[in-house]
Amino acid sequence: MNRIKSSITNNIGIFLVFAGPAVLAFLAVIIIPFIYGIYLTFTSWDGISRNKPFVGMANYVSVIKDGPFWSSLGLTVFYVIIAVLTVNAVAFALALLVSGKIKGSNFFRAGFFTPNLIGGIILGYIWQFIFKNILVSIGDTLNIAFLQKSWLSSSALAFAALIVVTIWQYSGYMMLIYIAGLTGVSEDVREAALIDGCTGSQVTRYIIIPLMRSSFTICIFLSITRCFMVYDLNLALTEGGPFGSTTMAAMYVYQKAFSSKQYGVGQTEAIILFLITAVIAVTQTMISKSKEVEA
Amino acid sequence: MKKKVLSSLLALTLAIGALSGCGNSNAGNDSAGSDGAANESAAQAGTESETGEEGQSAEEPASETAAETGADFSGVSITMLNTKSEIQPQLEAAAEEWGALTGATLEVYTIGGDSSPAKEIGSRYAANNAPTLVMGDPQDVSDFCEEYGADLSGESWAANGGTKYGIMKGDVLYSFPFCIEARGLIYNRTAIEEILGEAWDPASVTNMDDLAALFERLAQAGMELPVALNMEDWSIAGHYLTQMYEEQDGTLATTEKFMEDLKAGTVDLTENVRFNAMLETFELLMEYNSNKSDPLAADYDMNAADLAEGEVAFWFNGNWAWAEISDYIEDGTELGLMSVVQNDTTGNANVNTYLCGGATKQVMIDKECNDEQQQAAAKNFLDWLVNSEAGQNVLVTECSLVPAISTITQEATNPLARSVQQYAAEGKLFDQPSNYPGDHWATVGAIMQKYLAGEETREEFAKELQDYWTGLN
Repeated sequence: MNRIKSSITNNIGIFLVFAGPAVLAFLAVIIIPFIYGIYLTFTSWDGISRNKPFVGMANYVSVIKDGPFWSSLGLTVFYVIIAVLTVNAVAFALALLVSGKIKGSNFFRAGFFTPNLIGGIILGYIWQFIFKNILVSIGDTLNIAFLQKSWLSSSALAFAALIVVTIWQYSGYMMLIYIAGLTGVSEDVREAALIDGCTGSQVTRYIIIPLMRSSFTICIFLSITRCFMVYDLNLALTEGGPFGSTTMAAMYVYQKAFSSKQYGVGQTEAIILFLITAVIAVTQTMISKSKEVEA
Repeated sequence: MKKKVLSSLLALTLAIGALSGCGNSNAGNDSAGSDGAANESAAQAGTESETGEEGQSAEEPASETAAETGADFSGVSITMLNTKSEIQPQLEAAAEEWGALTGATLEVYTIGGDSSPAKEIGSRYAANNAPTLVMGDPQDVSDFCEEYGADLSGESWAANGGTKYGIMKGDVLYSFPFCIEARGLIYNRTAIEEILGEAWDPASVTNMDDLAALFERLAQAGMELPVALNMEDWSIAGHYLTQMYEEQDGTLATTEKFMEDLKAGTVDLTENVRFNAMLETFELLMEYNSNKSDPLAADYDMNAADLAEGEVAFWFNGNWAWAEISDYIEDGTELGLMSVVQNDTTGNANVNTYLCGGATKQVMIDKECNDEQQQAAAKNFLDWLVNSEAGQNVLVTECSLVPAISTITQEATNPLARSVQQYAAEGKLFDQPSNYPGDHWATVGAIMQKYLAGEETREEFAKELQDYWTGLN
């Protein structure tokens, strides 16, 4: 009996020594704020006051009735679909290119990766300048009609601008993961396939891609979650404009909580955004995990 | 075994919860520093007998410097949130200067462009670590001053503009009006006279027809599009459109009543004289807008440069725009601010001679997280700004602000500020309410951008604007 007890205390001791600090940090910065955040959805707090009047489910009811929130969420879903597809397609193509035997492949890798090192806000301002000034003056000199007006002043083109910049920002990062996946496929398997008579593209299609499914799982997961939570780029590039037509869900939530001072409603919408993102990301991971194979 | 781990984790969670709970009860000790856990009443008694700051400023309101004549705040450390980031270096220098006089330390900090004052203040209060001096936008300060703000009614400056421009709740004054800003049409007189080849007096423009005639003359003389219009939501909705509420009859009471009526849905804007007159002028400005080909691509800095260099003659903005204009302007260029002139003056005869403006930054002193001594030091700092020559110098010369306190008589350092100072001295400012809905500029801004881009008629705009207000209920 005593021995069992001491082994339990031992185990707890060991657990605390190794995992304690991480668990503590995780609790303090993720779990507790999250639970507290859920509590705030039941209040009509304004974000500043000490009073947090309890209002029950009222916030959830008003979120359901909040039309602009759902349309911004719809826009976000649309954005995620397009961005995830294009980012991953571009990233994979880049990975194939720079892992081939071309001169200066390391230089290209570094070059494609660099945009990811620039913060979203700065990147947004740089591209704002490009869309507003540089492209317009190019359009003016060369008389290209669709460049003569700033992309950012029409709602469809502003959305396209967001996609373009998202690709530019993320594809380098995803490329790196794909390169890791590509180099992880052993040379033996490749050679065996070639000897068996596969063409180069067949090797990629039937051997390499199935063997690096886990890279796809990771990249799609990362791009889905990041694109759902897009905020800094949205803020710096379009500020939700023109006339609010590119306001993504995260930005809408922020405005609700801090500009309209309806923290409770904003928090509720944030929770809903979280749930949707979590469900989609987890489903995606489970589906693609089940398709992963090992050599 | 697993259960044990789980339960000990739960216990840990509770322990952390309890710890953070304790944090609440001795709030402000962190920032109080030296003073430790002195309880409120003791601190109160201490401040009043030791420093006598309150009594002093009451006895001699105009005393040269309360700070120089003996107030001693040695060891007191206070903080100030500055939400006018462009004057951060000047305020830091001022804090040091004041600190050297009183022995206190004042740490001024500011926020980046990606944060808003309301969010910053909210998170500071959530952390129980609010700054002693809280500078915020009027509507923010108005929202929480009753809960967190110290009563400033007895301060030396209260009677000299404090109660006029500061935030009052009932009879209690809660904030120090940090500066006055006003908006209107900025004109470049030098450029106009050069183009027209004759002397031009802004007073000659008395209504919208005069303005249209002037635009036409400028266009014929070679300045085809003499106006710069911003596309930013805060400019068109937050500054231009709000003039419509504030000029209903020019009194704060009517403005507030008008907003209530809008919320209640009893106003038909298409029938409203001021709405129509204001938008008629806006349409005129749109017609002569130098960004006309793509109004939503207007660039703020380009507008500033165009006005400074005389590419355009008018720019709708406010005196704060000097910060950008001054980067481009040549010595000797004469600038000023004039009203957004309108044709129909029914209901308010002053619209063509007054500007809309008021105190745009309010400084509140926190009483929740800062003890009595810190509050007294903060009051002393404001007193120093207003009553000492060095402090006045900071506000007017160093920061190029238009002070709201009438005892500060130094002349403003730039032409736009001088313009506003003159309007203020003549009493020609329409007050602005401090209770605009927080999302007004952003939400209505988006609607007005459609109108600016020509994608919406005046009627559609009026309808959407009314819907915004009734949707607030």
